[in-house]
Amino acid sequence: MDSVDEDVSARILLQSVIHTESSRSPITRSASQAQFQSPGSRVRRSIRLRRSDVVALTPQEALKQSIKKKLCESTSRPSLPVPPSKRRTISEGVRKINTPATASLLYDDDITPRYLLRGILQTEPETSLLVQDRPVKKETELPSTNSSLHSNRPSTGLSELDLPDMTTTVNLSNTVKGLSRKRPRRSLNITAFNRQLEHEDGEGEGGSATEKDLSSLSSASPSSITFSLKTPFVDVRTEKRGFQRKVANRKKICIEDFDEALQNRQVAMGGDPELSVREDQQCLSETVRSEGFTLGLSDLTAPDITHDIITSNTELYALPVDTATTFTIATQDKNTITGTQIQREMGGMKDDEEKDMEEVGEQKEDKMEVDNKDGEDLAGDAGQREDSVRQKESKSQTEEVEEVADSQTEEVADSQTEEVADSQTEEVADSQTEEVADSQTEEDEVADSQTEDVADEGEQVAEEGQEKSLTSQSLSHNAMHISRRAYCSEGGVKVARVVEGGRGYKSMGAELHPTETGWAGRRSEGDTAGEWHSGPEVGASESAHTRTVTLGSVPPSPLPQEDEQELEGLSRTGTSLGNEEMENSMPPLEMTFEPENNTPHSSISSLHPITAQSPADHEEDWDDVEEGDGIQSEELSMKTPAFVREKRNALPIDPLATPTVLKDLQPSVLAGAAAAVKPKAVRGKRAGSAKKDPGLSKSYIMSVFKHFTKTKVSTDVYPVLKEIMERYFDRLADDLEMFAAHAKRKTIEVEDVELLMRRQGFVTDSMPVNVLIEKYLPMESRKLLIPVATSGNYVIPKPRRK
Amino acid sequence: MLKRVPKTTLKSLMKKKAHIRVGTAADAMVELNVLLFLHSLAEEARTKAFEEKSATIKAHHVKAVSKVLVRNSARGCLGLN
Repeated sequence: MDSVDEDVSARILLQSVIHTESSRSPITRSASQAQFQSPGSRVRRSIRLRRSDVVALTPQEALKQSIKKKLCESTSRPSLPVPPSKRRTISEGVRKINTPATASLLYDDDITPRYLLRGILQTEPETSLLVQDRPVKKETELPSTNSSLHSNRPSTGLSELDLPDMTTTVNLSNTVKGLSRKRPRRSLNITAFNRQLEHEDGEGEGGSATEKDLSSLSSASPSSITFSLKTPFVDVRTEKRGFQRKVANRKKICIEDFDEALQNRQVAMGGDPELSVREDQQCLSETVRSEGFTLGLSDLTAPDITHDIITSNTELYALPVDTATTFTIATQDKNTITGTQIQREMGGMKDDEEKDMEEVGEQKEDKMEVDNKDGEDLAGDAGQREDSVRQKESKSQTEEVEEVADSQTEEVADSQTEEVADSQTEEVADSQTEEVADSQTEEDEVADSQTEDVADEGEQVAEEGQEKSLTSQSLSHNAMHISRRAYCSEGGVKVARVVEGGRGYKSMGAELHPTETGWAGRRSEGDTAGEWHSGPEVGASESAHTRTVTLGSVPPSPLPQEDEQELEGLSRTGTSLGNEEMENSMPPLEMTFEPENNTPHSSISSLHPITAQSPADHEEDWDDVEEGDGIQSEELSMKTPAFVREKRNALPIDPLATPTVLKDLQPSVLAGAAAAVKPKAVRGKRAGSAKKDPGLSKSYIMSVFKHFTKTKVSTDVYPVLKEIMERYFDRLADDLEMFAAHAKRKTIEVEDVELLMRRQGFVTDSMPVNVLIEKYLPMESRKLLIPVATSGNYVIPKPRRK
Repeated sequence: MLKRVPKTTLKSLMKKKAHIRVGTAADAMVELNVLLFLHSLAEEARTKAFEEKSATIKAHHVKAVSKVLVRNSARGCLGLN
């Protein structure tokens, strides 16, 4: 029976204790003896505990302390020729004894964890590190992970325990770290730990190793055991990592990061359960943080190098599970942003970073392979694009970018060279970094989102080859930039990429966006024929730009999605024609395209005169933007089929929206197109009213959703998403109306929406509205909500004086 | 951030049912709300997709998530769906 075993083990332990004269505090020995002698020696134990600064300890802490002390006692017998297994059982038996007894004892005496931990700390250092630490740690690992569990939980949840408890935990970890400081290099090796347990005789290495193992084990085992706890564990782990960072500095960090990276990779490939899970927890928690960073344009602070390394590295791996493919892309945001800082500090940390880089590089290569596998699923240029880019294969990109401007290829080559250079060293030009840094942040994020959107969209078009190739040019261009940036594991590398990408973005940014939107618009509009009407109509009627006009003529005919391929081909031919031809080429193009269309679009063609102004304006603006950017833009605009642009323009098809859209567009273009637009606006309104009024554009929903998911999104979700959004909007309107009515108002105001958000849980006491505003909204909207003070004591918007 | 939905669209959405007026900045707030909602939806969908070990988010993921989300939102909001 257990009691018998306990007695036996206690006796054995006691004998060992007696034999082993270790310089331990008499308290401990007597306490252990008392424990061993009588499992129910609660009184004595309590006395012992009380003797040493009785502090209110939670039962768990007391249990832990008692267990540890018992372990010290039991393990203090190095000479005892008990096999490790036996010892373990003994310790387990002791543990059993201790657990119930201590538990009862603790509950009776109400010993605080602080007291327990303090006792442990006092005893541990006193005793020889070798022997006692090992068993202590061993005990702490397993069962006492229960206590550590408890301790961890309280430590993580401030609400549960007092602050002192936190400190005790901290002290414990500090102690552990202190112990581990002796052998920071020790790797986590449980088997070695056990072996050392066997050879516990005065083996300093073993002790130190165990120390190190303990630090990692205690962190690991708790994770395994506390895995179910999830959140608390994650926090603890984070805390411990923070502590460890102080202790072991880079070494530990490197190992940790490497482990994380490995685990993430494994996770991506469906790897280790425990470790990967642990990492996932961390990553998830960090993912949230990183996402917050990514979404918002807030500045990322990098206090010191190690922090940068950690944060950057962890950021790299913090978004692992999302997708191996998008991993690099997703993480590159923060990487690029912190790239400058990291780069500046590169000098000191070069070695470490290089190490990490190499590690990351290896992992990235592996990821690339994984990405390749994932890309197969996509079966799209997007996937290929990403993979190829990551694999430093510009060829695939060039293939995709057949018609892309040479600048794009050049940038690809540049990126490749940079990648090569980056992989070797971090000699990215600081000047470049600094130059591009500022411009990069926003562009990068925008570009990233765009690229991702484009990538996703490209996936959709996968089956439709040509169109993809057309649009993939810009997409690949973006992807190249982003992937290049993401490929660099370290800041320096990233900076180089960023520079490259930034340059590309600067020139391509504007056009890319319109291109993307246009392309996305086309995709989104495919579902709605009505919207198509306006799009092609606009394109056909507008004659401001030759290319746009010619291209515009194309879309009208092939409205349905099925004809997208045809459209692409047509558009491409149209674009090629349009490049050289002027407005006059419109009719012949139309004729060329129409016969190729399968679906009859006579109605559409009849609507040609009735065109929405927005598409035309969009095209004009887009073209202007493109031309302004240079050859690249021109080529892009030429390549991009007009109907794509039409679609993009047709997005905000709302007749009411068109004027707003016009405002959004570049004012320069607006001025020129105003006259031409007006008649079209009228016609567009007529046509627009005929079509349904869903409101939210599909492309918008798609892009936002994709950006938030950071993974690939299949096209199937969009109908579902659209329906969800519609229902959501209905509910939103109803709720807002109710709120306003409750406030005896007839107008929905900001407060109503804020109250709604609070109810939904988006706004909490810890998350004020302004933070959310800063995080998510673009500047235009933000200006409306948050008063911005400008010079002259002029506040925008004018503060309402109620 | 990626694209901007024209304010008029938002206004039309909100005025669809109720002939109620919409304040100036409420549009932006609604946009923020929409973004947040989509964000949470995307997160949940992504988690669900990962549960199925798929790197791509499929429609059924989103559908399953939406039910939960709608229920949660309904709990907080007055309206029910």
